[in-house]
Amino acid sequence: MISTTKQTKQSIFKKIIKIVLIATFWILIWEAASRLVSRDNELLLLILPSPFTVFKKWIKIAFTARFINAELLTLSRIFIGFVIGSALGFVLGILTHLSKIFYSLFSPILKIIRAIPVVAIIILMYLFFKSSTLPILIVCLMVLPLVWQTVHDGLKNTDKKLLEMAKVFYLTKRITLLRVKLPSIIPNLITVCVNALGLAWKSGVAAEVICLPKNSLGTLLWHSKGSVDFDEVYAVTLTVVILSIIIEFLLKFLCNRYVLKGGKSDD
Amino acid sequence: MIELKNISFSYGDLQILNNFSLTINNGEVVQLFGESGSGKTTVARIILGLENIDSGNIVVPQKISVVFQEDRLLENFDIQKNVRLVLKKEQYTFADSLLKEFGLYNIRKKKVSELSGGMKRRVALIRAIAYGGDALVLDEPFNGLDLENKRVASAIIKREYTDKNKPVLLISHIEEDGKLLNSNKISI
Repeated sequence: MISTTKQTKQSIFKKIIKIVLIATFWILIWEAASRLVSRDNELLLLILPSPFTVFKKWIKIAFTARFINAELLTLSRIFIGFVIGSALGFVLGILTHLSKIFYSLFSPILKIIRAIPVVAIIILMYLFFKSSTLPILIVCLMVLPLVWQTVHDGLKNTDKKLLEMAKVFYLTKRITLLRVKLPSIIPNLITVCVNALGLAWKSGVAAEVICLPKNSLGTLLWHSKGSVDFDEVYAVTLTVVILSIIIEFLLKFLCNRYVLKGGKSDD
Repeated sequence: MIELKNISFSYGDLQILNNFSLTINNGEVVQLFGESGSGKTTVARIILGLENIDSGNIVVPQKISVVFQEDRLLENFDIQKNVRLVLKKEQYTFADSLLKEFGLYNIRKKKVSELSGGMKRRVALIRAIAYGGDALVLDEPFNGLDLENKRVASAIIKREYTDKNKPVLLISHIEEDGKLLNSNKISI
């Protein structure tokens, strides 16, 4: 037991060292690129500031009320859009699996949504929605088709041998769906959701940059660019990256802890 | 009773069974013996209603318990949940007693994916026996089991099926498996 704990601690320590080394390598590359670009013209430092300058700027703005407010609102918009998109995708995936009529009705629409460029959807939807709700809708529309496709295909491709077992033991359709089919798609669904979360961040912030809701990281990005404050552009981008990594880590952690743990019977 | 009369079955152009007949009386165990590819598992699948025959007559009970050639368990569920999946609530106590007899009760909360091949086989056997069908189909049921576990399983199968006058079909290429269940051997 003690040696296992020791081994776990060692492996976590190794992981941290590895991450630090990789991050240091890329920060050094960034620093070198920044120096190289500004060697002949110091004005170019505005476009590619050094990591130190960006970090300084980030420290300066990260704890201001305006920034925290923007962070929280962006985070909540992306979270709401992601949850609604995932839930709708999940339910639609089940419905289109169960009913051919549902599949015929919804699959073309979902495939079209997936094929349209994000920017085109943002511009089109901007005509109908408020700037504060549009990012939620965009995130939802980005996540929904991915989750739907995963659930639908996963249910369709359930292991035939397990389905035969369910048939021979006369399991009801409901039990077969809940106990045999759905659990088999969960690992793949989690991977897709984690990827969809990354997409949600990108499309959500892009929507904010275009429709400029009052408090948002996207709006901050736009205004920083407008006032040629590239240090702030980088600092805001850095925040988006950090938040995205933290949320992705949390999602993976929660899924591993509570979903992949599997079915335990009650006595 | 299980009765197959003049069964013909083919996969596309490949004829697997031609005028095949088999009768298993109540309380009887029949071991189907034959080379791999001879159609033993196909006979089991026909009895279970998983294949449509080209011609012939079948008389089988409606509720049949089965141990498939593969375990066909839900890997992410624990042992107890896998067994209970096919049962009614009133059968839970019986299933728990079988778990005890097979030596799996103390680890009943362990996920199937964490079990050895022999343990998974025992879970598949418990599931089939606890289900309480009016006939039992066993396709290579003792794969991965040691002699002691084979003896335990055979004794329980005899008690729950042959002693209760239910027919059992055993598909196994190992003669000793049939002897453990006092079966009549039929070649295919």
